[in-house]
Amino acid sequence: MNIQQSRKNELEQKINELEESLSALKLQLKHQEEKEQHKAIDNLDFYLDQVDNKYENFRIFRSIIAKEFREIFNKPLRNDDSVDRN
Amino acid sequence: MSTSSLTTLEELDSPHVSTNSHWSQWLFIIALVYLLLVAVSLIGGGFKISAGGQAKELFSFATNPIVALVVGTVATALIQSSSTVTSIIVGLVAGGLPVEIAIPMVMGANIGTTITNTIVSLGHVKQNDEFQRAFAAATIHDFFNVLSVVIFLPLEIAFGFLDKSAAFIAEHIVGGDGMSMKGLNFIKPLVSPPVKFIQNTVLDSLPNMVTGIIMVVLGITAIFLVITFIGKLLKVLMVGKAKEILHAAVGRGPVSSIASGTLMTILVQSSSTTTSLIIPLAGNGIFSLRQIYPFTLGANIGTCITALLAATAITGPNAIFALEIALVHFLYNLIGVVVIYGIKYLREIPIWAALKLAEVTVKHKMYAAIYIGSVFFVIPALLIGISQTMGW
Repeated sequence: MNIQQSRKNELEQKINELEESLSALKLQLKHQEEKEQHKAIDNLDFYLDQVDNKYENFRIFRSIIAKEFREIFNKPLRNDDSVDRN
Repeated sequence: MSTSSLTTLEELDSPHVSTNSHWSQWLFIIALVYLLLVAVSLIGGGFKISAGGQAKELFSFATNPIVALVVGTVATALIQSSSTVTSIIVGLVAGGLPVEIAIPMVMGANIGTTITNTIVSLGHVKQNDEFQRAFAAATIHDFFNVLSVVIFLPLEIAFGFLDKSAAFIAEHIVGGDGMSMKGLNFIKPLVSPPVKFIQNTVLDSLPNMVTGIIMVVLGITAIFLVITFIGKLLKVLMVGKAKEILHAAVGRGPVSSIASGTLMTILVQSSSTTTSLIIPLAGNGIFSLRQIYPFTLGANIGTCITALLAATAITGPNAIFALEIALVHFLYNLIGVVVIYGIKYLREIPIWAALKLAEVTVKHKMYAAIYIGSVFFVIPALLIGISQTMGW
């Protein structure tokens, strides 16, 4: 009984230690993310330029859409697939 | 050292920038704000003259709230500025447009303005994971505004709670007829002269209807130009303050994010700029969707300041109605944020919808084009067609 109780206590202690480590890691991650966010905010001017050039995005988007349309309409039908079954 | 009135961002950062340049830009902004008030007054006066007391009949097509909603949505999507459209609406209400017709237009303006940040998100289309994040960040605003309309437009039609609340507040601010607010009595003598000059001198020889129409067109053009220039100038002047606000919001809760979005939008006088700015930040994974969501909602509230400012230009018996519609805009956005974001179940709907849409769209980018075309143009056109056919 003492051995079992001792084992239980050991496991509970390990779980508590793991939970503390996990909390500490989560806190570190949160600090790291906030650091990145502050850095990005310092470069806000760069993102403002992206907003100002939003119509350039249309040009890039249009070319990708055109490519998708071409892929759809040039896609061969299943019966015509020249799959080498040998 | 730059002497141009539109100083670049790099030059602003330079320690050699003259404070004269800053002062001249602020004076320019004050002049533009004055021009905004004159423009709103022009629209109000022009509409009153041209409509000749028949404003309600003129806008009878928009008595159907769906049609009015669509008008607000499409107009804003085309102009890409809810501030411009809501300021025009304030002017039209001052000219006699019934407030109950204007309310769905104002709700539609909220939806239409989200097209800008959706366009910005398309810039990330080359990288799938970036595009997925950016597109979700853009469309969450769309879904929130649509949900807001779905909830509050029927309630407004049934109970008129926004109209009544705004009227109650407006009466206490403005009083009876006329702008009797002590602090704003100085606006009438400042704004009236140019309006009267245009009406009674420049356009004197023309028939009333033509005079009115020209005044409305001039007013709309002026509002559009003013808001565009104010936005450009404030973006340059306030970028430092905007950074401070954003830094202060990092690591804090959603209420702080909402406040930051509100403040930043008031500073730059454009919800499109605020909501578009966070798209690349979300696309690059710096901010999560749940972090930018409340910030976006803050922009909805902050943008109401322009209509409230425009309402101060109106004097006379319709001043109270102009203030009323501006207050409706504000109350609608504020209550929308409090209710939808405040109730967990409702809060999650735009998040779920934006994530699902982004998941599908990243696999087939053309869905983004279909989405933009549908939400801002095709569906509004269909709604108008259906409502006309059904005789609603």
